[in-house]
Amino acid sequence: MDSIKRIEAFRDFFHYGTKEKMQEAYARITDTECGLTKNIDWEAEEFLFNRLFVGPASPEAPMTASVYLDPERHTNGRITEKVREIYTAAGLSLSNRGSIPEDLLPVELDACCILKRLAEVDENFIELYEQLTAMHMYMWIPLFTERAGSCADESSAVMRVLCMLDEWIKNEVTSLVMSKEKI
Amino acid sequence: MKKDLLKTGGICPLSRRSFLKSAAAAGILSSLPAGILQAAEWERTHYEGDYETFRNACPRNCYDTCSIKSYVKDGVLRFVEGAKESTFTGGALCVKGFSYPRRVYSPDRIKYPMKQIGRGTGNWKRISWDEALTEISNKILEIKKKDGSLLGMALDKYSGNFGITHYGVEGMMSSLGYTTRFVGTPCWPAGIDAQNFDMGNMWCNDPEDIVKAKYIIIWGGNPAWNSVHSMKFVYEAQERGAKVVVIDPIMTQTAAKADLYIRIKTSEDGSLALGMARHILDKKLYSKEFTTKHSKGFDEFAAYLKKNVTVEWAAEKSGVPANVIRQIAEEFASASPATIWAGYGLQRHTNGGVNVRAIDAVVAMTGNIGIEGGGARYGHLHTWGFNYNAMVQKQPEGSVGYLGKDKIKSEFHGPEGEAQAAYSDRTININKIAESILTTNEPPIRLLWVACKNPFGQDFDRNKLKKAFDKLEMVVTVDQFFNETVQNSDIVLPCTTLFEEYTVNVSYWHYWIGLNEKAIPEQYEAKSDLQIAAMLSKKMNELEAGSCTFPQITDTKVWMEKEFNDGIHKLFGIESWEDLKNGPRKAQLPSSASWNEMKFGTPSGKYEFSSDLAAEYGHTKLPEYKAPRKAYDKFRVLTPHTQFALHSQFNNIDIMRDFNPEPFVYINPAAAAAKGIKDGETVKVVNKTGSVTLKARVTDIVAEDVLVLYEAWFGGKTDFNIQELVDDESSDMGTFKTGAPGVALHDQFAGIEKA
Ligand code: SF4
Repeated sequence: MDSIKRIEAFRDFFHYGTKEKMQEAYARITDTECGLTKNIDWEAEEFLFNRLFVGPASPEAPMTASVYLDPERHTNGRITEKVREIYTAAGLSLSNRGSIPEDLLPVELDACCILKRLAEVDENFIELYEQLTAMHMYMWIPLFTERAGSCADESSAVMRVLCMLDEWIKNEVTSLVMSKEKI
Repeated sequence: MKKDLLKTGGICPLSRRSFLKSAAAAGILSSLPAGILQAAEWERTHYEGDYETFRNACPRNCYDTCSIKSYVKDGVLRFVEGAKESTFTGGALCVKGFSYPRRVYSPDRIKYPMKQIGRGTGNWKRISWDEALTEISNKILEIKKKDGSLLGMALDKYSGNFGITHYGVEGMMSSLGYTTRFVGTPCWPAGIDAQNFDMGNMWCNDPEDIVKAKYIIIWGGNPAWNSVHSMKFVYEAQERGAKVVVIDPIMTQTAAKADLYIRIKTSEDGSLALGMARHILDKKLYSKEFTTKHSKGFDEFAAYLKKNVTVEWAAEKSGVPANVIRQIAEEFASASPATIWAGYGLQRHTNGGVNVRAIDAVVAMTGNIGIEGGGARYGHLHTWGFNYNAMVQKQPEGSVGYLGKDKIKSEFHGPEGEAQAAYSDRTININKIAESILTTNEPPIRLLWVACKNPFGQDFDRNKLKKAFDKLEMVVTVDQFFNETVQNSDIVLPCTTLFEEYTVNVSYWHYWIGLNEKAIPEQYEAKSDLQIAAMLSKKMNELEAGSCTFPQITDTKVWMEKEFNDGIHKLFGIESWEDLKNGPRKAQLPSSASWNEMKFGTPSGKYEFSSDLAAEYGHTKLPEYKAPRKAYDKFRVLTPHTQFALHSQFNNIDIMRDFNPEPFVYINPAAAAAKGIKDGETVKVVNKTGSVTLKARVTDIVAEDVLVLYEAWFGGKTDFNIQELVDDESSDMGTFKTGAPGVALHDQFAGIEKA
């Protein structure tokens, strides 16, 4: 699967939070027809998703980088600000600025897609992509997937996506490092 | 362009600056009394960077109603400080106030409208606002069709947000039809009635004038925790030579700052006050001028004292030694001005109202009413004369309601929509919610709307409340955070914090007004109470034209503007609300003393030691002794406010949890030894209402027959709920001014055993 499409699928899985959208994104992530995921109880997956990431009770693994990286666990603090700086450098900003933190997982995944596209036309954007992925997302996504994974049923679709996301960021950073070494 | 995130933004040790910016440190420093060390001036004078600043006001149910200055950059609330313009707020906030940015951006906030599939299951689905409002509107229309009225829809709202425009929630209910309303107040109604019987209104001196007092008694209150800003005036009075006496069953932090701490047997405040009055009478230390010129019934009161009260009797009842009673009576009567601050705790008893009357009588007979630095301080509502534009809404054409004589009453404003209507809302005592939901029929309460309140955290008899909620067909809760009420709801709607809306705030204690500006966008999909009402109105009218009259205005600034009137402008010396952008303003008062003209609001126009109105409401005319509630278990249970929360708000904020990680029961060493309980051991506190299991703290801050558990929901992994131990026994007063009596929530009893 085209790597941007794959990141988009991750983004959509974590963004919408409804079973229909999750199911549709899951099919894209796992490269399966929706029909092949019939054995998954998507209602239960939706409840699990909300318990882990959304609420209304305290989410067990909030999908915000600050929760994992900020020394004072301050959301919308320095970590969010650094991510915002990357977006600004790329000429990006949230359409509803101030309503959600820039270091929310689906927002960062969306930025990855855009930066990757921009990098295809202007290699300067590769550096920004590296900053976002290797120097930031790589620092928190494994912590996030580990925390979420410890609260989720191993056979769940959410768990499978978490594993694939973890694998994706690790592979992505490895390939970035390898391409640098070649240079 | 390249920047190394790890170098520029990664983990670095806390610098001195960041220590000082820590909210907890700031809160502690802000309440420091004068001493060898003093709190440095806040770093409020020179912040680096281009911040936009906004005016905000803390809307919590707190004496202090702080004026806040908020600093915003990149659309993000970076930090807050107390407004310097207010001499009351004085540039500092309490620990809760300083934690606001963490509260606003907590990952735990409710972000979207959500629906629970099976109440209490924890299976939540994210739904759109449209879906949520359609489901609620359909339920409202279904109830109307089934019952022929909307009395099956009830509102449970109280003090979670005291922004004036939040009375729009009541307006939303009226705009739908005649509904069921829980009226009264859990907090302070017995004291309100007491002061109304005595003086014709609840009206306290400006708290800033306590600096002029020569003798201060803080009776049944703990401002060092619950009104930190008032403490600086108490300290200043002390520095000027005033004596500060604290009377309380608990050795509080305020007591620790006093010159004299007097431990009283709980609910015996009346006997102590009457004992003091008798001694003042015997020593002829009362004010002849006040008692003859400005009061009614003093001779009857004196006769009552002579016949029924002795200092020795008072000592036996109250547990305060006779010589101490004589000492404080003489000192109080000899000092001028002298003042008593009657805390809300002392009136949460079956004899709470009459006890406040006895305390008022001591202040009055010594001539300390109506003078600066004096007064029987309880609270006031003199600055609350807004339009209540959002609240006053018309029922839709043809609405059918209750045919009884009930009228909505609230301590904050007059009867709502009192214009002569054939029908009215159905009113039920807010302090009997569980019982009422279970027993109200024709029609039963089917749909409950909860806003600005966490009934499971604040209402009494948790187990009965759970049964009551189980009877409801639909529960809609509007809140910022998950709690036990949300857990027992079907739909939760996310609401904004104070920084995400416009409103205006005043206090029931000080005399300042503060503008509350929208400083940041609504977080995630949160909406203000007013926006929700406007959106519900739109949906209702889409489904059935004319079914809701609430104006479909979603701009909270427009609503805020409509609350101002000439009276407010004149009182605060402003041309328009825009003047408040420059900072909070204080009411322009002829004197800092309430009743300074000695024109009382009573039927006689005088201070009434003997009140016919009290008798009309079933009380004694005089503030006679009334015995406390009979104990129904071994230990008395007291459940006062904690320092790190305001009821169930703030408890869940991570930095508060660092200081206040779990609930404890505080038990006296002798009582603990008798039970074989050691400090830190897990114990079970049980009574007829329920039980809680938690750790014990062995301490002599409490008397041998008393257990103290700080109130409210602690969230996180604990299922502690103090309402397991509190029944809904009524206090003696409250019906006159607030429509229903209060709750005797400190007249509770329980046993304790090792778990
Ligand atoms: S809780 Fe009270 S003291 Fe604290 S900031 Fe709010 S109004 Fe001020």
